[in-house]
Amino acid sequence: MLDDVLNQVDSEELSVFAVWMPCLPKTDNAEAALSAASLLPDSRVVHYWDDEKSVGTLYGKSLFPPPGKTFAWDLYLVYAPGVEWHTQPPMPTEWWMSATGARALDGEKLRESVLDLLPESAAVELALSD
Amino acid sequence: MKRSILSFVAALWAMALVLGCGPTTQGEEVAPEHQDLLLAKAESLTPQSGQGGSLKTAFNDAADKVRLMLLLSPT
Repeated sequence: MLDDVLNQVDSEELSVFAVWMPCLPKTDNAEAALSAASLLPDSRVVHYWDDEKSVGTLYGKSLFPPPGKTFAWDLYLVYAPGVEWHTQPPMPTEWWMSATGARALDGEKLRESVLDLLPESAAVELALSD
Repeated sequence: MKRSILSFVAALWAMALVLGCGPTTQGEEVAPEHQDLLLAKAESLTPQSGQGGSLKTAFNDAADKVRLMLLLSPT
């Protein structure tokens, strides 16, 4: 599904950071992450292995503030141009997760949220190429 | 009876995880001193390919673009 979204948003105005984390202790490791990374062969994707789940913990705390909900994964965070990382990982402009509910990931919604943030010229080019 | 109900609930939970619809959050509250360590770690993550800057640097270097950050489990 994610691969489909990336194929449909064929713009160099998009950068993708895939942060792999050990969510399932028995099977998740750096080697498994490398293997999983091969499923996203898009050149715009840079892959990271976060063995201490630091990014997931920081976002779990900021996106799901009630105590006890401090580690998050299966998250798809979208940032508009201009958003910068200062002291804390920045809050996303839009985000989705692999779960049920209002923010349940949907390929079409993810694609649209990315397209909506692309510069107008890039979005027009994509529309013309469809 | 109680044991069989618990077994059934556990089986449902395991099935939900396998199907990818399990919880996306878990864990304990992060202590303030640990928070600083997490921030340092998150900022300094380097690409698996060994090429390119840290996650924070790469994120900010691409600030003129739309960025998508994926937090994923490899299995």
